[in-house]
Parts: sequence; structure tokens; C-alpha cells
Amino acid sequence: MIGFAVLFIVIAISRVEILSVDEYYLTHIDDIKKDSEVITVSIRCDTILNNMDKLAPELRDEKYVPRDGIILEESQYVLRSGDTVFDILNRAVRYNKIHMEYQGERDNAYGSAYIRGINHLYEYSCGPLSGWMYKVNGEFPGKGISKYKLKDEDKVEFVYTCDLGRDVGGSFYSERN
Amino acid sequence: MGRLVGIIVSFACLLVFINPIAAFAEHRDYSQPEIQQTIENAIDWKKSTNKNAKGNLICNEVLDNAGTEVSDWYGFAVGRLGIQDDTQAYLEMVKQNITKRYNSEGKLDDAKATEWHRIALAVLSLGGDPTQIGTDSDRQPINLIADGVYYRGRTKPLSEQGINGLTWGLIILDSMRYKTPVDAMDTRDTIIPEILARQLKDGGFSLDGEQTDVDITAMTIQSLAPYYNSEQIYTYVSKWNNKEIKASVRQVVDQALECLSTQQMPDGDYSSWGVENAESTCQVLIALSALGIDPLTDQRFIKGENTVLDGIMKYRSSDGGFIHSYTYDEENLSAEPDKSNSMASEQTLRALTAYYRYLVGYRALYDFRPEMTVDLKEKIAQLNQDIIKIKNSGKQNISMIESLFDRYMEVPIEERCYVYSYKHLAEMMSDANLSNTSEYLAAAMNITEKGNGAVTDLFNTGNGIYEDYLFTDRDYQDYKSIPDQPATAYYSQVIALLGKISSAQNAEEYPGVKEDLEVKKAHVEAVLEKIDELNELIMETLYPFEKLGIADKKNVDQIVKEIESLQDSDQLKVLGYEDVIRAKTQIDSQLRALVIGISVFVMAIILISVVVYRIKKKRKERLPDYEDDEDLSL
Repeated sequence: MIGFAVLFIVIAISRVEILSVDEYYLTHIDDIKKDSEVITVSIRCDTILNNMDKLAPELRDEKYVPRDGIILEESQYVLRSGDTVFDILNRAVRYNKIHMEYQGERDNAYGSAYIRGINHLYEYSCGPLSGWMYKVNGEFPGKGISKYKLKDEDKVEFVYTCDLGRDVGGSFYSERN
Repeated sequence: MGRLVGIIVSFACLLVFINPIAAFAEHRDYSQPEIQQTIENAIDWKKSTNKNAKGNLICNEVLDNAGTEVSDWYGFAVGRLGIQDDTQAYLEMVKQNITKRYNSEGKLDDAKATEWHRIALAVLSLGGDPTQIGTDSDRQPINLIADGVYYRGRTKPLSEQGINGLTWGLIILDSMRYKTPVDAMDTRDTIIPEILARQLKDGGFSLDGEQTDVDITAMTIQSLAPYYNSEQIYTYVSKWNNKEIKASVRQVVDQALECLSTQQMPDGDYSSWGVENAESTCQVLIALSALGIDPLTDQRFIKGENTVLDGIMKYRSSDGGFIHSYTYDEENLSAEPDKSNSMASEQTLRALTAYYRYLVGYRALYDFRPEMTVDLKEKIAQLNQDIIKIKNSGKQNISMIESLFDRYMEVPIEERCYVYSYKHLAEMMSDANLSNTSEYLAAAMNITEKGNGAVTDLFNTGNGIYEDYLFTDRDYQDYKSIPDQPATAYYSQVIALLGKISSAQNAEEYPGVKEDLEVKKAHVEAVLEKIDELNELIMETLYPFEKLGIADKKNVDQIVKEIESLQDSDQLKVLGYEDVIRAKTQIDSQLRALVIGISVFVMAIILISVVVYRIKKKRKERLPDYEDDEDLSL
């Protein structure tokens, strides 16, 4: 009889879910399953490690610039239909409680969301040529972050540049020169 | 400025394909009425892009972004043209915007001094005073010139963001010929050599200090233009070769102009970062207008027949707006090759306004002092003509040159930058070995402490004076349309009307309106604050989802309750509302599982108890038989 009791208690506490289909879908939307479409996201600022002298003094702290320059290591997120790079970034930073400040699509001259800062690192935080850039599958798309639609298995990298992109493999500059 | 700020974070990449129907420039000698028409069409285009324009360019959509680069340059254009519009509303909105931003640590921005500069330019243009607008956290009036230029160094170097901080700082410092105090961190004497030191080998300027950029070069010329006639020699260490250089502003600017001349494309336009575009060409026209260089005749800026104006008109679209580029520019996020673009149209408005002001003889685009007297203007115009005439005659003698120089010296020092042909006089003097005793101009720039920017009715419409402001019946209707407890979407409308009624001369005809608007403003601000709090709370307590449990129920339910208490349109402003619902569902399902689990458990206990009881009972029923048997056996 005690055996029965323990079994019931275990069942009760072990997050048994009794859900409607909609509820199940809502709470499991980001679960990665075998057939899930996924996006890999990472956020790095390792270029700052070589430019600490240029970094605004109040940001010279591991809280803002981690020792290895990794703010978010490569992590996978489920691709929801219609997701843009902005949507994925927005989810990734929220789920990991990483600070981000952005301007909405309607609030700026580019007609695309505009990332002002991530993890308290802003444009110009590390010298006049610094700011955030993003790559998809190793290339700089050069498109508004909320205009770029993602597809299954895309790899999105957010990288902080201290040199107009040249220190993060920015193809634009090298081709121009 | 806007474009270059964009470039840094705007995810650099090369142009990918070329639009096959790229337009070509066609040369025309544009007349003054044609320029005016083009400006008016561009204003109309901008109005047409706003849903609630009601005949004004400054409408809710524009007001929502007052104090940002999206709207400020349009506000600036309206003011610089002196056209009738909702200018008081804009000033009021800017006031609210900066007051709010001054509560944060970095105030207007951590790194970009240009935030102060751009806003100050918009304020001056609309007839406001940037030395006292809005209030800081100590309830003191905000001085954008002090905080953004001469005391900027107390928090961050003016050049924190690169050369833009210096050039725009100088432009705004000279906009009213502001005085720098004795304890200033930056003055004209520190800023000018810092700019000059950034000149590149080919005479141009750039953000990265390596490859000349047209926009940056043109903006640098704009900032140095008021010093072009100064004989002051600056000593500085060049950044690109670390050599000490002694040069006048004129020498540096002439090299920069030479550089721009070689960079001009066959159509008369310019390219930046590999893309031919309207904005770069616009910045060049502003630079030429600031120096009084006629783009229609100066051979340095004519390619084939095509002038800088042809280069700009090339980007004119049939709807009156201007496109950014005919090549698809991967690095300008939204500009499409066949569609009028907000930034391109805004910069074109600025450029054509600068050129128009030059044509008509008004002050330069970034000079907001009241216009000179007609008498003085005519004297200067005559002197300019005479210098050219005598120089071109080739028959100048010493007395002629001396007389021209005397006339130049009669021009007040602070207006000598408008003697555009002075350079030729200086050269004639130097050729004739005459000593040039003209005073240094930078020293004569310390004039103004405060005051409103002067507004001129550029097209003589007769109604461009912003001083006699009236609250109209239409404004009253607008006011009546605002509900008692307005949603945040009404914010700009409330602020705009508040700005109008506060400055209206007929305010007493509308008793109680101002007080009521104050109440409504307070209400909206409370809602805005609530939304901010909710956003913070959500960010702090909701993630990661895996860790959410029944213990968080109370908190999540409270968040849901607070969100639901907002009006529908404001609920959408809560970031991650979807995540809140998800968290609530997750917690509720856990709770449900727990309740069901416990119920099942309790029921099982009851069931077991009943079964046990019944077994025992059955046993009991059978027991007496045993006892009987036992009794018997005993």
C-alpha cells in the first residue's frame, strides 16, 4: 500500500501535463524534436578582448565582456514559420536574460528593426568603428535584421566589430579595397 | 550623419545586382522657381506617406519620433524653409523627449554627441532655443550646446564616435556663434585642429582614417566653411603620417574640394561605399553652398555638362520624393532602387534648401542668426562681384587691390565668411606682396549665449512667422476627439496640443483646455511607466521557462491581471505578452496536474481504505465462526 502511495506522489509531482492540444502546442513550441526545424544562434564580442583600451571604461567588466568573449554560445532554437533574424535573436536574448535594446521597425529610417545594443555593448562602445553586425551561414547578408527570413538549419552569428567589420571577416571592406 | 551612423552597424556588404533601368542624368540649368517647385514636391511626397498628415508635414507619425534621426531632419527642413506647419507641436515633443532621456545615465546617448547636435539644429530651425529646452533630473533647464559641445568632454570626448562628433559639434557651436566659457572642455581652438589633423593623403576625410568618404569629406567642409576666409595658421599633427603640419583652414578645404572634384561621377553625382547615391551628392551641394561655390559654373564640379544639381535630380522620382540609389544598395537597409526613400528625400530637402538660400542670398543652411540688413547684404554682394571682376580683368593694380581690401575690412568680422570671393582677393594681395592684416575669424565667433533660432519665410508665402501662434477651432476639435483616459497612442497628440495651447496668444478663449491636457498627459505617462515596469518584470521573472513552477503562479497571474487592465492597443506594447500567456498556461497545467494527482491520490487512499475496510469487515463476519469452532474445540 505504501508503494502505491509513493507512486501516486511521484506521478503528481513529476510534471504530468494534462493539456488541450492548443495548450500543448503553446507550451512546447520551442521544444526541439526529431523533425523540428532549427536555427543556431550565437552572440560574441571577442574582438573587444584585443581592443580593451578603446572600450568605454564603465564597460570593462566581465559582466559585459566575458573572459572568452562569448555572450551566448552556439545554441539551437526552433524555427517558427516566418521567423526573421530579429525574431530569433529576440527569443534567444529573452530566454537567456541577456540585455538587448532595439528600435522597432516603424521607429527608424531604415524600415527594419535596428539593434542598438546587446549585453550593454552599444555602437561606438569600443571606438568610433565599433558596433554589432550579423552573419548568416558565415556571410554578412547586408539586409535589415527584421527583413531577413530564416530557413531550416541556418546559422546566425552576432558579432561585435571594433573595426567596421574588418576584424570579423567583413567581406564588404576587403572587396572594396 | 544619419547615413553614416547607419553604415557602422548596418551590416556591410557589397551591392549585389544592378537595376537594368538605371536612370541617367540630363543636364539642365535649374532655375530658382524650379528648385522651389522641387522642394515643394518633396514636402508633398513626405506628407503623402503619413496617414494623418491633415495638410501638415508634422503629424502624429512624425511627432512620435521627434528627437530621433527619423523625424528631426524633416522638422529641420520645415523650419529652414519657414513654411507654416505644426512647429510648436514639434518643439513641445522634443522638449518632452529630451526631458525623459535626461533621466537615464547617458542622457541623450552614451557615445554619440551628435544626438545633441542634431536635436539642437532641429530646435533652432523651428525657432526654438537649444540652450534652454526641457529639464534635467535636477529640474534645471537643459542646455544642448553646453552638454553636447563645450562641456561634452566632462563625460565623454567629443570625438568618441569619431570625426562626426567634431564636425557636427563645430557646426552647432557656430550655428548661433555661441560663446564658449573659460572652463570649456572644447573650444573652436581645440576642435578645428583636431578636424584638420584627420585629413587624409588625398585631401579627403573619413570615419576610419583610411579611405576617403564623400559624405564625411563634404560634412567636414561644411563645418570648416565659416573659417575659409581666416588667415589663422593652425599647427597640428596629421593622423595618417604623424607629421607636424602648419596650414590654414582654406588650404585644407581647397585640398578637400580638389578631392571631391576628382570623385565626382560622369552624371554629376557621387558614390559612397561603392554605391552611387543621392545622399552623398546632397552633402556635396550643401558644402558648395556653404562656401558660396556656384555648382552651375565652377568647372571643378561639372563633369561633361553635368553638375551636382543634375546629379541630385537624377534621383528624383515621379511622386516627388527622391530615391537613394539606382543600384541596389545592400548596406542601406530599406532603400529600394525604384522607390522614394525617406532618408534620401530628407537629405535632398536639406541640400536644395541650402542651395536655394545661397541663390537668394540668405544665410547658410546651418547659420541661424537673424538675417543681415539689406544694406550689408548688398555691400557684400557688390564686393564679391568687384573682386571677381578685377581679378578677371587681369589689370589689377595695387590701389585697386588695397581699396577692395579696405572694403573687406569694413565688413563686420562675424560676417566676413559671406565674402565668398575673398580667396581671390587674398591671392591678389599675396601676389602683389601686400600684407594681409585681416583678423582671425575664430576669435570673432564668440558672440551669443542664448536665444531662438531665426526663421525666414524662404518662399515669401507671408505666413511663415512662427511667433503669433493661434489655437484654432480645428485644434479644439482635435482636443475634443481625445478620450478621457487616452491610450498611449494619443501621447503625441496630447503633447502637440499642449504645446500649441501653451504658446497660443488666444489661449484664454479656450479655458480649461490646458489643465485638462495636463491631466491627460499625466495619465498617459503613468500608463507608459506601467508598461515599462511590466516589461522589466516579465524579463526578470519569466525566463527560463523550464524553471517556472507553481510557486510563480501568483506573480504571473498578477502580470496577466495588470496587462489585462490596459487598453487593447496598449496591451500590444507589452513585450513578450505571448510569453506571459505561455508561462501562465505552463503553470496552470502544472497546477492542474498537481490537483488531479492529489485527487487521484486521495481517491486511491479512500478506495484502498474502503477495500481494506471491507476485507476486514468480511473477515470480522467470518471470525465468530472460528471462535465458535474454537469454542467447540475447546
